[in-house]
Amino acid sequence: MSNVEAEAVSLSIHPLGDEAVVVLFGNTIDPLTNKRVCQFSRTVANAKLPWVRDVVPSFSACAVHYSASKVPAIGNTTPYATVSRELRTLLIALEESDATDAQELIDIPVCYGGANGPDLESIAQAKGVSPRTIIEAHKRAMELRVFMIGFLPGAPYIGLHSALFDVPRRSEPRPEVPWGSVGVANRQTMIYPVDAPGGWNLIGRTPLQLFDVASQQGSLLLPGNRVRFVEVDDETFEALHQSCT
Amino acid sequence: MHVVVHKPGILTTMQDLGRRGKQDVGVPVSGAIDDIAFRLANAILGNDPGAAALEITLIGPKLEFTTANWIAISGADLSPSLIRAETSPSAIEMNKAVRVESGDIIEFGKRRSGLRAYLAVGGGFQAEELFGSVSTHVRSGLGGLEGRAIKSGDRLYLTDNQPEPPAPFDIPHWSKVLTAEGTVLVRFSYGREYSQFTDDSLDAFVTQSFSILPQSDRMAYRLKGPSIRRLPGLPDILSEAVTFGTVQVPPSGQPIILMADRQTTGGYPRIAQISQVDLPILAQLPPGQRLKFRRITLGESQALLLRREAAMSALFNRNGSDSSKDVIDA
Repeated sequence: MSNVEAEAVSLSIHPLGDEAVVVLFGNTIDPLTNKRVCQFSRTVANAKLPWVRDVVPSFSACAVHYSASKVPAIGNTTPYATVSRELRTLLIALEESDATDAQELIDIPVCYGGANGPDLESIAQAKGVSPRTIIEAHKRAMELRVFMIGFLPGAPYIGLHSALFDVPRRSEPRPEVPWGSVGVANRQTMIYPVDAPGGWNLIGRTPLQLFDVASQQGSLLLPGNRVRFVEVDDETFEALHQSCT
Repeated sequence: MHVVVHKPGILTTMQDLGRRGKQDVGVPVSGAIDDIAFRLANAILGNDPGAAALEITLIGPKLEFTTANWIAISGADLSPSLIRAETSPSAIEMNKAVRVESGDIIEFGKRRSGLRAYLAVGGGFQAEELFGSVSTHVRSGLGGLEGRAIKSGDRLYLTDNQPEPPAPFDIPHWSKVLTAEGTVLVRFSYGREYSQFTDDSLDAFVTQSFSILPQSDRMAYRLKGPSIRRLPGLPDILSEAVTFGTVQVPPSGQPIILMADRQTTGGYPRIAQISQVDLPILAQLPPGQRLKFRRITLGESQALLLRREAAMSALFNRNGSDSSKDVIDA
């Protein structure tokens, strides 16, 4: 896309029904756009505005859910207009600040292949490389980030990987994918926090608990986190799994 | 103090006004699917607006109270009745504070109107909160009673701190669940991808009617009607947040209205956003019901919402005096 087109979509605010807006930062999946999304979502959350209910970052946008009746009533201005104005003020302050995206790096242990990664062989074949090459490329990926969390509580969309992971999702999803399964598609990794139906290509499994109702944060990962995949063997997988539960 | 579940009904869950603040990590909001009927029952009892109540779907439960309590039933009329030892069953009047005694049993029967009823108790049901809410999301096993619908043998806990119900007030007409006849009109404002649909589709969306399919549930209403098509050559949209009332159009061309248990984000193009004031109406429509969509501006939609919320708040800000005449007619 040209620079002109890129600018045209940047920083626009759109209504999402009566009680939400979407702040749009772009329309591609790329780390730079998502970094701005995550910074903005943190800024809004930290502002603790009384009318904000939820701040939901996604690949290139940040949604702000609000209570219309809690938005200060200013003459004939709609709640949407007031909310948009308030968020623009925050956006400008953010653009002008030196906010850094100092996000913690989280290691995710993965036991690759075999029963844990039933699609590893077919991906390797499709790309004309060995399964070991796919594993190494997955582990050595730099600058991986959590773009967003959705689909299931705690389920992260991580990326971007190299072209080796530019494979489509399965045409036939599996009716049940075991919790912890690490799936790849479209240069992204998705991890299933619980047993669930799944269409991503499974290459391994993590013993980590991605969602824990007993924890304050709930989700192990947050949008904007940096991640790195670390290979572990079956014994280590078992040991880590025991210590997690 | 507790209620014993003798029969669970087909889908009875503990709900409040939803679990907010965790959508950024994929936790669905859930909560009462008809939040007007839900709050009405609480207002009748003098509870806080968000006091936990049971959401009862179509075929209701059989419950035994072990202590005296105030209760109120709102929403769908599922023929609630009270069975007291030594007396014959008596019908429980809808939308009214009713005193139950220890040993009383509440049962439901034939559906007369609507789809979901709310059973509120004085002081609200007591359950462990998850991220600030007791709402149940059955699909992901979160909240309520062990993340599931109630079942036989369950004990539903009550508080001994029950408020005295306020003086009865006129039930606002907009909070009543009516027997829908013919085609129900549902208002919407533009969806995020409204302009990405063909002219024919946009025309059909507002001129033709849709029916609610039997697979519809708390997560989404699936509609059957004219095929809604996107303009050719457009790329897939990126996953983005959705709300209660987002109308998505999957490749099948048959729209889906996202409801209380929806996921937090979605990847299908969004043609419409149902006006919040019409969501309680939708929540009470059974499969087979025909709908027709009518577009209004966002300004109009929000004005309707603000008026409705002011009127709803007024039902709670009562000092026991009968100021029902002051209730704004929204």
